[in-house]
Amino acid sequence: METIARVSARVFVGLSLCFAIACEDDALADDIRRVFTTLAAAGDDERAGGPSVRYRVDVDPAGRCTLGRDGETLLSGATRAELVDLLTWDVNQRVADTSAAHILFHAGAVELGGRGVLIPGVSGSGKSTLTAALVRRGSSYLTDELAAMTADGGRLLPFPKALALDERSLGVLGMEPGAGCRGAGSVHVVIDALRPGATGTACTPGALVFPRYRPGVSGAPVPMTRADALLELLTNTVNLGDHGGGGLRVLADLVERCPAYALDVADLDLACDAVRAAVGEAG
Amino acid sequence: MIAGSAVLVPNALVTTVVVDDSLFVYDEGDRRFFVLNASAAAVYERCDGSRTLDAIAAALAEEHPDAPSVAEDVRDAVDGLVELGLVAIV
Repeated sequence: METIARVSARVFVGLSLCFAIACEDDALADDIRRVFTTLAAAGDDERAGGPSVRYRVDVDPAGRCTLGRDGETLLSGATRAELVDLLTWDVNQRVADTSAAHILFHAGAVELGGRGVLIPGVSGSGKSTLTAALVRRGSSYLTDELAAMTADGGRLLPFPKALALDERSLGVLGMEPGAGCRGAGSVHVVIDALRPGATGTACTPGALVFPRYRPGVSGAPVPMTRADALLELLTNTVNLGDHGGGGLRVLADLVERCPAYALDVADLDLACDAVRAAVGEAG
Repeated sequence: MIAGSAVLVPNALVTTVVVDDSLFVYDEGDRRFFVLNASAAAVYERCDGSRTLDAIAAALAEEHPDAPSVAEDVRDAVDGLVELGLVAIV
C-alpha cells in the first residue's frame, strides 16, 4: 500500500505492468480491488521502481466519478459502472503497451491437466463464456481478453484480471450479477466466484480452440488444418509487429505442436467436454 | 504493364513460412501479413533476382503443361505481388 496525494493506493501487477490505483471512495475502492485482486496475488507488487502508471479515482458528492491517469483526466462525470469499464479497458491497453516482450492475443486461456488451452476470438465469439465455463468445471484461469505467451512460444502466462461477462452469459453459467463488479455493459466477475483458488500458473501451450457462438448450434470440435489455425491465430495476434518475422515462425511452430479446433459453444456442457477430450487427445 | 524482361526480387523485409500448402508472408516494413495460395507461392518463390517474368512463366508452363493460361496467370500474380510490395522490379 502506498499513498498518492494523501489517498491510499493499491498496487497491482499485470504481466509487465505495475500500476497503482488511488480511490477515496471506500465502496468504489473495494469494487476496484475485487476486479484486480488476482493480479496483485499473481505477481510481485514490489517491482523495482514502483508503479509505472498511477490511476486516481475521485467521486463527487453527487456520485459522479472522475478517472485520471498520471495526472491526465481520462473521464469525468461518469457513473461508477462506466468508470470501472473504462479503468479495466485502460489497464488492458497499458498492459498490452508495456508487455511487448510477450506475444499477445485477443484470447482467453486456461490451464487444463497441466497444459495451456488458448481460446482466441473476437468479441461475441463466446471465448469469455467458454473460458468461464471451463474454470467453473475445474480448469485453472489464466486470462480473459488478453492472453500472453513468451516470445519463444514456450509458455502461456497468467494475466488473471476479473473476467467480463454479459448478463446472458452469467445466466447460462448459473451465476448472479453479484458475483462481480457491475460495469455499464458487463459484469467483471471475480475469479474466486467462478471457483475459489482457480487462478492458474504459467504453462506450456497444449491446444488451440477457436470458439464461435451461433445460437442453438453445438457439436463436436472440428479439427483445423495448420494453415487455417495459423491464419486465425495471426488474425487474433495483438502485437505481431513487435515480434516481426520471428513471431511468425514462433506461431507457425505453435500450430505445428498444438492441435487446433473450431468449436461451436452454444451448449457449454458439450463444449467443455469437447475441450477436455481434445486436450486429452493432444497429450 | 510489367515487361517480360523484368527481373523480380523479393522484398528484403519479408519473412516467409510454409504451412500445409500455404505460404505465409510477413512484411516487417508494412507490419502486414499475407497468405499466398499454392499458385501465387510458386510465382513468389521464383522471384529470386535471377529470373525474368518471362522465364518464370516459361518454367511454370513447363511444369504445368495442361494449364491453359500460365503466362497470363503468372503476369497477374506478379502484378499483385508488386502491388503488395512483396516483390520489386530491378
